Amino acid sequence: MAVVIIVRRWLCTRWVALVSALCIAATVAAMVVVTSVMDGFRERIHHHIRCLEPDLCMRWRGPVPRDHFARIAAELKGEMVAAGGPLVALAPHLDSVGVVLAESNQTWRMEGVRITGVDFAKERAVVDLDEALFATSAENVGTDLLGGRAVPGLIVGRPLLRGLGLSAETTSATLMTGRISGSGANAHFEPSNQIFDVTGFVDSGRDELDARRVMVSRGALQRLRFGPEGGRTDASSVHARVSDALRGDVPAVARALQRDHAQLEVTTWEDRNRSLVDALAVERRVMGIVLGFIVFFSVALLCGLLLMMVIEKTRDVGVLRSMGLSRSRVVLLFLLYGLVLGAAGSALGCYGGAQVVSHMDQITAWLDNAGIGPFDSSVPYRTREIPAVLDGAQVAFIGVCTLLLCTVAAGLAAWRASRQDPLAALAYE
Amino acid sequence: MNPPEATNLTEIPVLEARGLQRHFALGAQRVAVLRGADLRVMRGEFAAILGSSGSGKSTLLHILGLLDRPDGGEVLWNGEALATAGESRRTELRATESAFVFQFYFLLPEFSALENVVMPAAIARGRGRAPKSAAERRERGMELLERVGLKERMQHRPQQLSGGERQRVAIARGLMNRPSILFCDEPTGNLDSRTAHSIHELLVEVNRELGQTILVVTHEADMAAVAARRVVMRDGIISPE
Repeated sequence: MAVVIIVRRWLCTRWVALVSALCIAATVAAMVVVTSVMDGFRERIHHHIRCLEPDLCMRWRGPVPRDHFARIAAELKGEMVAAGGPLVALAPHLDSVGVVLAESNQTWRMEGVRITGVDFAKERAVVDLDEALFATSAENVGTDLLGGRAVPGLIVGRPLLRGLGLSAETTSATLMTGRISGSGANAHFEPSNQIFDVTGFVDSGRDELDARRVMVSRGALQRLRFGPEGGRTDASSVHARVSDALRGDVPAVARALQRDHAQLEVTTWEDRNRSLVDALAVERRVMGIVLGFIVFFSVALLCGLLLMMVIEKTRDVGVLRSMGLSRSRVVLLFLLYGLVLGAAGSALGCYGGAQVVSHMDQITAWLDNAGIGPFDSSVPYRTREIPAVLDGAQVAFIGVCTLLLCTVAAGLAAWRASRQDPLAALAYE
Repeated sequence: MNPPEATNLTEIPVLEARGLQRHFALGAQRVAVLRGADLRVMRGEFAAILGSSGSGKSTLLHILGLLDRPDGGEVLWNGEALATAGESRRTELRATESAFVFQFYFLLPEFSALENVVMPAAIARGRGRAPKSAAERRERGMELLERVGLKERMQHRPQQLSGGERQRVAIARGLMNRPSILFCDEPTGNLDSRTAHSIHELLVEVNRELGQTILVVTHEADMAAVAARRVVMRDGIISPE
């Protein structure tokens, strides 16, 4: 009773306490906002990557058979959703390297490229191709950009489109590749080339990859590399999409497939983008540590305030002890005071941070209107807004950790106050 | 002012000190402050311990009031030996059976006069003779402040009150839980003579009208003069005046 009365009065009459609670609130809010924005960026980048990168990529161990795709499809028949498995769709991929040439303003331009041969319809079932794919002309929109044409279609990366000087008027490009035949001293390279019609471009937001990215139909690439009689293999690899329910944990699906199909070599989209995924994870962790330090220092400020208060209130504690306030209730007095400040700061910070995150669109628009928009459109991933993902569990974790730190700080002050001898406290000047 | 007659005295000592000893370390030296002090205070008595500065009278009061422990001897409250009693028992008795009035008032600065007065009852939580409910506490607090002449100043904070008014609030606070004994440590030591006189009168009134047992330590002859019984403290030993 007395403890509650005193704590309530201290809270109402001491503005320093309010300031320390606000400091805690500000740092907690900053932590919520920054971690949410980091998560938003991570999710946005992951999404961009997965527009072109399939969830899983599979190869047959050992020599690649001619019926590579057919064999893997047969092997994974029981893993498809229709059979109760985790996979939604499969698509064959044929990879090669080559050179693309285009004439623009009577100048030939040439770029080394990585050529991917895909089945357009199957590919769209495996990745969200439409989010990164754009037709170069209005009549191509909504059509199969690669197949069913007199001149086969070609999709190039956006930077490559610029690099080759291609425009609405200049749409044809020549693709050169070839095959190696023979072996040892008798090995020789047999080049081949074909004219393609550039029907679309890819913009994944990752210019360094798009600058070397070329997509053609798988059949066209087979004919180009191996001649009219067809290739030695129907696919270099097979790409697969995992059901939406399991897309959050693709590695687990990959591990299960690897365990049940030892003849397959399974990699995930994260394995193939390991450096970027890891860099994002490390960045987030480091930012969490830095912000954790800031929260720690703001709680240290509260601790300092409480210890100062113990000194300032030495005589009052002595008087209260002379009136019969027990040592344990002195502990409770300072513990409750610190906890109320910490809880108020944590709750206010979590609420404030969540409010900022949920109004991020308006904040970005306001920044744009004020002429201090956070991004221009040339930055990678073509984002104009601040992406943010509010994770309730993470916000709760931040709040609880802050509260625990405040409990330790208040406990330290309470312990100090309880150790005071009432007589010495009364004699304190 | 003449000292009042001792009233309602019985043979049951509220407070008894037997051969109290207390030493303090002063560097390498061990200074004896109490050298076997004996004292009995009867119910309803108004006693004063008179002594010069450094005679050990405040040390004695702190030991009798269970704020300090003696190195030797015994303290008895209503016959219960408390020199070596556990801290929880001593704390409970401080809350329910005794109260202190200090030289420098020691009111809690964030609270009004009325809130300061009811604070001991909030701490006692209905134990002993303390008021049980919040309404009872408030009613008794107002009654006590009216008795000490501060009816109009109940909502004032300590810093808005004069020294004499603060000491009146401190006395009202001391009476809140109807303690067995009220310990006063130089209650007028920080007041001018006129204000000190009014505090003397108040203490006499409280003793006479409420039958409150009071033990005062003072170095002021005027203060000691209003007490029904006076003892003198010299060199850590109590002797009759």
